[in-house]
Amino acid sequence: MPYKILGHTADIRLSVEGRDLEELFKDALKGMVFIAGPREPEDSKETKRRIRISAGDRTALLIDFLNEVLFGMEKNYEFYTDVDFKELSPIKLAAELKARPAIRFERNIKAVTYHEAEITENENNLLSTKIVFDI
Amino acid sequence: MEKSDLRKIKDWLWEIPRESKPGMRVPARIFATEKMIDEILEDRSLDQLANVAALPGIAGRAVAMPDIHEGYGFPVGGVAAFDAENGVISPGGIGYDINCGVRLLCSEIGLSEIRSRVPELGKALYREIPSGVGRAGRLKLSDKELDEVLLKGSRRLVEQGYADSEDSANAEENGYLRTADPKAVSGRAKDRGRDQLGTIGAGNHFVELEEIEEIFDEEKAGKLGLFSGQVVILIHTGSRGLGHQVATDYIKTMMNAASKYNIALPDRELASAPFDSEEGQSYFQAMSAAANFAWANRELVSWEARQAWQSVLGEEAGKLRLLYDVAHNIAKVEEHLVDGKKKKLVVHRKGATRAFPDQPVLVPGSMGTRSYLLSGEEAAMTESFGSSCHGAGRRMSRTEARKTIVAGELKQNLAAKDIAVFAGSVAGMVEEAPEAYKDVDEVIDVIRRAGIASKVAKMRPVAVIKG
Repeated sequence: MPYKILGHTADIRLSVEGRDLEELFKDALKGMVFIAGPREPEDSKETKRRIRISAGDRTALLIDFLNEVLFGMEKNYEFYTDVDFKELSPIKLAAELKARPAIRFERNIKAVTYHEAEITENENNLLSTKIVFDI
Repeated sequence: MEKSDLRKIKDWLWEIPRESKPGMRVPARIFATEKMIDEILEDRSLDQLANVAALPGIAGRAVAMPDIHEGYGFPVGGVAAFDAENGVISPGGIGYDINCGVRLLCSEIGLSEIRSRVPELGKALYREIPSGVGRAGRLKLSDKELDEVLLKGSRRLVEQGYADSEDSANAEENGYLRTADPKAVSGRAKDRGRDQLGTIGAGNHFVELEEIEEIFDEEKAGKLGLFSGQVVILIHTGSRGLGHQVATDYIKTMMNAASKYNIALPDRELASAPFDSEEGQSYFQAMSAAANFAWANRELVSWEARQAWQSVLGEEAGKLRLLYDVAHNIAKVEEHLVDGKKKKLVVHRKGATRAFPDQPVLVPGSMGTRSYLLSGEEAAMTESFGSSCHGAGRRMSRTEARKTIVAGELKQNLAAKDIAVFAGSVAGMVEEAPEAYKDVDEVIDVIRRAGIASKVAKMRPVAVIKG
């Protein structure tokens, strides 16, 4: 599992790791979609969404990326199965999200918070961080 | 934080002295029994409270209510007041669900008169009030219409005929903050909220049909028009996606501005700016607008509840009168005494309810347990910046709740207590089970002993509507 759900009294704490930024961001996206728990209608079709984000550092970029995804999920009532990064640096990204429509979500993620988020290299030489989602 | 870092002041009051953690500018006080403190120390709430006590311009002390639990940045169940001239405003101290709050509608009849109609009424409420994640409401507002709501709050709904002016008169701040400026709210925040007015969302939000089970103060209850066995409706929701996006936008703005104002952030979610700065004022205007959206939201949900009530019971069942509406995630400019001097403060209440003397204070319990109507008391003004608790407070994580609570058993247990549940998500219902929450009776007892608020009445749920 590229991500782990950890305990948090009221909200949800996710632990995620990856060999590089791209893998870390992809795994964080998968973890977030798992938390939201979308239900897909029958005969749904995949669409694509383009996003472009910049931030002060790689941790802020990850949180801002997930908040951008959350905005798309709520506004378009859809969820994302994968992301293709056209550009990804510690302060900037351009990407194409693979979107599928949702008929409902199990959880209401209000926001992706910066609380405890800090991308660091762990003892297995993987990039890792915790992310707390406000539910 | 260890128990040895704390100083016990009374059986229901503890202090984290300023010297306990480097950077603390003021001490922090926690209203809790020793048993509660032991439980609170199991998560990071008190470390978070100590971080809040380190923010620039904090006045007097940081305060935690007995329903405190770990949040992100600020703990939930916390009150922090900052000097309006030299202090900060922090979006994290209000939370993402700006003006999440509670309102109580009172009927003119007793449960005994409609007991057999409760399932039908529950179904009608569930049908009439959109609930669940992202579920759209009955209105899709244009930019102009949305700006009117952001500016006028529940008064806008009165203008449109969804409520009587009596409703907004009975809400905290009369259901709107004059400091709102729709221009301070981003286009994406407006996009998130445009079709969400009149919806409760998911998570811990709900609409409950309840009966007044016990009256503690006959005189106050009588003045408020309450009687034993009376049917009431409790509504818990906030500013939905619009408020969430306002908080997200401004936490980012303030995080980027922290170095400009030399504010050290032990946690990025404590991002703050001086209250009188451009960023601080802009957030306050946007927060006020989101708060107004929340009051309008609860007003439209009330209209929907009234529609359901009338469709099932007809005209003869009478009206549903708004008793009061309180915010429990908000910042307000208020005057309080600090070291004997009256000061203008920006009071942040995150998971805390204003409790000015004689003001009704609504404290929902968890699904399946009792809720309380309290009345603010004088000690709240000296001990907690005029604030009380906001609920029972969580004690179990959502993942643990899913692991340990079986949906079928939960439904059976609630049915055995004559509580009908109408929920869109079984998993969501399990996460909000009574076992996941602290004992609301113990929380209220601490508030009463501290003299912050007194008990007026206790309500028992008979039907619960959840997303």
